[in-house]
Amino acid sequence: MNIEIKKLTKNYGKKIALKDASLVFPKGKITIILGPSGSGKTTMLRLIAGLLYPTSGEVLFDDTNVSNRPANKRNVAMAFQNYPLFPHMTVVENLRFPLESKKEGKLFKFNVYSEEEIEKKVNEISSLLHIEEHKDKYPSQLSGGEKQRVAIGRELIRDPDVFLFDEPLSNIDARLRYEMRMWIRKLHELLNKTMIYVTHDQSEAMALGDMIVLLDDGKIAQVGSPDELYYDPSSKFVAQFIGNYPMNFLSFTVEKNKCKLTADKKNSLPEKASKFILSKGIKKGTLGFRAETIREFDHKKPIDKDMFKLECNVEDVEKVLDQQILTLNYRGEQIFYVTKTKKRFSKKDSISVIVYSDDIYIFDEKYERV
Amino acid sequence: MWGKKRKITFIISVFLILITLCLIISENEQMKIGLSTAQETNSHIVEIGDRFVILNWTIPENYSFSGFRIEIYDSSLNLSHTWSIIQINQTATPNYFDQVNLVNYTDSNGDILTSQKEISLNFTYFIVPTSTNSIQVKVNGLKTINPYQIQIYSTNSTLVPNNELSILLVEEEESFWITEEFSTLQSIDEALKYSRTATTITILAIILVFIVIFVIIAKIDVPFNRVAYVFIFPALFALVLLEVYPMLYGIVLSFTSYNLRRGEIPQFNWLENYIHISNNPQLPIAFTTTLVWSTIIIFLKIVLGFVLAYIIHYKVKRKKAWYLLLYLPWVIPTYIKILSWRTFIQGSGGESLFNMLFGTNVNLINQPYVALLLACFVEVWDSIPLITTLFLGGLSSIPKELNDIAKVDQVSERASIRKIIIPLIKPIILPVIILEIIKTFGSFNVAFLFTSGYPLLPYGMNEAGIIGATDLFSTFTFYMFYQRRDVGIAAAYSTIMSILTLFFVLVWIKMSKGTESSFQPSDTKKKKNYKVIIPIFLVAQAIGYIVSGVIGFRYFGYHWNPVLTYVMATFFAIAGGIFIWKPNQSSKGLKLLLAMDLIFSLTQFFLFQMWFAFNWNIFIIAVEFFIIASIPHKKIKPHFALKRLQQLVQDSRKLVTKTFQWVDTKLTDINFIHLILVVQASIFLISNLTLSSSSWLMWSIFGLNILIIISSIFSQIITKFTVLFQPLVWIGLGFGWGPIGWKIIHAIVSIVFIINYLQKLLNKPKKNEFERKIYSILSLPVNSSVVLLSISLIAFIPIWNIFWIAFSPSNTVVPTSIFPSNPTLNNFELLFTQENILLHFGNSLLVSLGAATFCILLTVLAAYAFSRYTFRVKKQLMVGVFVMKMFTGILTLIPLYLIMFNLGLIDTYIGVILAYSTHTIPLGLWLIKGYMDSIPKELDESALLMGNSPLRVLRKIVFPLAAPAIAVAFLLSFLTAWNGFLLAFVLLQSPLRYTLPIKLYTFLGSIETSSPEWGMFAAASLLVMIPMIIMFIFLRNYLLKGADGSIRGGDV
Repeated sequence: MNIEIKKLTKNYGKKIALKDASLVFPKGKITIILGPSGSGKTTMLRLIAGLLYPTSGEVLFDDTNVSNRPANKRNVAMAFQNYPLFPHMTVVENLRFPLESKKEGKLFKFNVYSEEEIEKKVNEISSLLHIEEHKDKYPSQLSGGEKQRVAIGRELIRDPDVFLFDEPLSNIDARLRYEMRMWIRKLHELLNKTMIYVTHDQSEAMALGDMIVLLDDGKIAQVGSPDELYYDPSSKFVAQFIGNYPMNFLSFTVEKNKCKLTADKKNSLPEKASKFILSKGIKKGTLGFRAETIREFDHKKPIDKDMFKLECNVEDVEKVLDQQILTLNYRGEQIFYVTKTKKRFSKKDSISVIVYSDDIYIFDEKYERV
Repeated sequence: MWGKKRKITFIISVFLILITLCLIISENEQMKIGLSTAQETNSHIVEIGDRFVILNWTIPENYSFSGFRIEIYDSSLNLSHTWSIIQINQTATPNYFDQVNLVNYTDSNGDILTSQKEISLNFTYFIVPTSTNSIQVKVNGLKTINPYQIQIYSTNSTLVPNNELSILLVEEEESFWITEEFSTLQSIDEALKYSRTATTITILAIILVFIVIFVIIAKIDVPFNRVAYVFIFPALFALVLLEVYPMLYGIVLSFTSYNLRRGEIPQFNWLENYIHISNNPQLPIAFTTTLVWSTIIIFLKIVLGFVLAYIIHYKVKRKKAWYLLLYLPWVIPTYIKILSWRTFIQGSGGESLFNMLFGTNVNLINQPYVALLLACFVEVWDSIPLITTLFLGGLSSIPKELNDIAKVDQVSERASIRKIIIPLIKPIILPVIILEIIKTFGSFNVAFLFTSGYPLLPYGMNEAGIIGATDLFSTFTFYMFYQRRDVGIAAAYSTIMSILTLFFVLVWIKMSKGTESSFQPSDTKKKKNYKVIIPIFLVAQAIGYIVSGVIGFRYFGYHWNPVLTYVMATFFAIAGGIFIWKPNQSSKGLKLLLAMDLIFSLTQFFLFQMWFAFNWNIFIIAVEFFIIASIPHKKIKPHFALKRLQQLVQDSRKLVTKTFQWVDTKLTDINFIHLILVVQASIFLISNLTLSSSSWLMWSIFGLNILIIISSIFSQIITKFTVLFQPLVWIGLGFGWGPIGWKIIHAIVSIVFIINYLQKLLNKPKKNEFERKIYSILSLPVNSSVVLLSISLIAFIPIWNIFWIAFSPSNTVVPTSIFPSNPTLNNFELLFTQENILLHFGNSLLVSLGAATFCILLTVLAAYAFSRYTFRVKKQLMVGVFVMKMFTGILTLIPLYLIMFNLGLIDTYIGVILAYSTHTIPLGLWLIKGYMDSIPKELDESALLMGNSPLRVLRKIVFPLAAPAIAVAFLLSFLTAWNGFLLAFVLLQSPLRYTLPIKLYTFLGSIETSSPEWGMFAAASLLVMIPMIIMFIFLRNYLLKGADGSIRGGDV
């Protein structure tokens, strides 16, 4: 099913949780809604599910407006953060419940599924998810992984139009998380249904998503594939949010047709970047580069036009397995530098790093990508 | 905090001024002492009915005619006709058989006899004998609501024989008496019909308006929330119909002349009822009683509640066992507790276990102060479990680390209570305390069941009746309504009470707004405009004094000295002027003035009987003190002469301090033992005084005790030897032979002393195993346990009394042994055979189950909506529901009765069930909502996404999960109806429908009953109590959790 939101806004009192969000979630794809906490991603999901009512705007399912349709009439499935199984029902009862809930009729409601059909479906699902031996247990007697499988099975069994996931993997340990990601991918291949997946974890987003929607403070910051978000961020926020390490930023000013770093007026930017900035006619801005793209200055290789050198002091060293993450101090500005060299650094060492102009992203005063 | 306080004081002051003004405006008379006797008239109209009028006249001594002719003049038709003729005849014989006769007469002995009825051709006439003194005639056959005049003629009439029947001929007549014109009343049937239609129409209108408002609000709100309105609708509807509507109806009634005795059309008489009330000397008496009552009770409740909670929370081990002991009396129905206290203290006419134990002479019928204090005591003891729970909730919200820090920092216990505990629990406890105040203010049960308003006050008499020393506002209103059936006036009383309650409710709303589970200071201090309020107060007081001096309205001035009144008026006027001129400097002088006024007022309050010498100033002064305390006061630069004086004062102060310091160096360590000795001494004193003991032994023991206390604080050695004093006490007790109660108390204190002493003695490095063992036994928190034990056991004494009576063969109250000497089950047998107690069990069960089921059905739906939806006006509705809770009981009783009456629900189970069903809605709503909030929202959301309707989600998911809270709420609701007295008492009239509380009450009756059925009452009480105690012991964890939950939160 094709889902579209149009100018969707949700206010909680004075607080704006989501503002004028317009978007199309393509049919049969996994769309990830990514963003830091409080950015409105869960609000967006709940608006789509029908658990919240929008302040303004519309939610369209296949071009029909469903904004006024309550959750129980939208036929969507939602996996919550903590996989809520009904604690007073056994596994079988939990699995049966969605099927028993499906009713038809205008005044007198009748069950859609007969007893035999329910029996058959429950058996199918429990063999698919390997939970046959736990059928008569209560949720409190299950392990974490089993609970999640039952919860997914419970959503699977009812054949919904849309699957919504609300940070489903955030509460579980790393090993189980990989397993569950696999399950979700498998599920998607199997069902080929539209899925919307909310997370704050970018690695999860990159691993699962066909399309990522990045939210910032209630607004859509960027929509695109994982690669687009990483290599072509549209704003400083996106650049900062995506990536294993926070991006480094240095502010620059343009004086007399020369681009110079604000922290060090003598250090001008490489020619390629300078030209680009001048052609855009920006007076002030920020340049960003990723910690992974910096190289240590090698005395044997001279600096050419496409790079520029930063002379820094080592402020802190963090060693994670084979990597070293260095916090450098460049004239009061912090710069992160990730390296895999065997060379050991210690505090107060001075070190020079070079940045290639191809790796530089330029942002204007409003932190928009130029 | 301060801002709030000032606002509250402002509200209080405005409120008091309003009351003051009301009382000034209404005309006042000195209290009438004595009854005005009804004037004897020779002929008068006795009663006017709907279709009849009763006349009464005396026959003059030298009456020369042979009879009377009664003529009816219909003023509307301008027609008159003869109704009948009464003949005075020698031969008349009194008619003993015909009971329903229209003409009665009194003979020379004063007996009322029925006349002989005869029929002639033209009239039916009556014959009375010549010895008749006066004649009473019921003139019937009149039209309803019609003006009439009745004329009575003296006649000489003769019977002219004509065949079988004779003709009565009037020969000579003379006008004897012409009544004033009167109008017959509307017939009761018509009146009822009228008010029935009125009620039905009003209810229909309310339903319509309510639904319309609901639909409109639901339409405005977002579509998703509409179902929430459907859910809260039933509960709100029930509340509106059974709480809001009666309340408003009550206010309307207070402006009408509604009277259940007269069958007239109720008419609006506007403020007539209120004027009537303000002229009634009983109002200030009831007001005084209520205020003194509330003050004493609230004070005791707070102190006792805090002490008990503190001890349980910090001092003792095995908290659960103490909880159980403390809560056990809680399950015993209030009415049984109160009646058993009455059995214990009053017994039959002062012959009681209490008097036997302590050798006192307590009689609740004629000792006003004693009765009031004992009633307070019973009320406090009745509510100890609840208030302790409230304080425990507050204490458990204090982080444990804070106390540990205090201990580590070596903060003394007193300081930690004062500086840490009290400030922290204050914001949590305060709203709850205000709720308690509201409850106490409207409390009914103790005053009604324990003393029934007795002892009567001679100056509390008016034509309506007499008021007693324990008649609260609520019982007073109740009598007005229940005995006099004067609905209009009673409604006016309850409206006044509602306004007073409303005032507290407003304070509560303000306070509970900021209530959170931890201490959070609100805004910074705000400046309040006291410069305006204080002068207004002072001038108002001055005017009040002058008014009281001029017109003799004694509630504002001093009853005992009018000159003093004028002096104080002048003082206040001057003080007001000075305050306007120099507010900051004059605050000290003002305090002095107020203190003086307070002393004068209190003196008359206590020197004369307080009910009689009541004075408003006491409360106004309290408010003024409260405001003045917040004025920053500046020192006045003293003149030269004053400077010397100041110096002198300072020097003498230094001298006194130095002397005390010197004395202090001579003292030994003052510790707990000294306190116990002091307690012991004071108990000696009290017992000697109450027994008016003249035994030299008892007094010398008391003297010795005092001597020991004084010397032991100077010498360690004496302290060591004080233990030898205890055997002396025992000897004294043995020879003094005081009543057994005092012996037990003395023994307890003595044992506590010895244990404490030994503990102190052994508090050294232990030498051997034996000493260590003894120490470990002694080092239990003895004193705390003794306090807890004695407080909880006191509640069981009357229960034991009941127990004894139930099994004793004779109908006596005072136990003569620990167990009845030859126990019988006679009383129980009688209950089942004669009194059919099972029927009443059945009645109670039916009513309680009905009310609880109805209540829970509504509450669960509403709680789900309140927990899961954020619809419009949710918060206001929640607060509104809670405010409703405070206006129940006597406040809505009268209108509720009328509504039930008009709907024909009086004396039906449905009426009682409906009346009780709304009582627990607020508490239940709050309990269940709180529990539902703790159920993960995702559960029902996922169920919703599966396509279930919200109702099915509630039924299948939320209901089973919230079952524990629902069960507790159900039980609470059940208990409310099971123990409910007042509503059932009023609404049920036929004895076969009585619920248990009323049945049990009928065994004892009110306090003046001459022959209570002690045995039956006791046996029935046991039958009611025992299942509840067993149930409590099984369900205690459940119930305590429920009770515990009701304290916390508070964020409504």
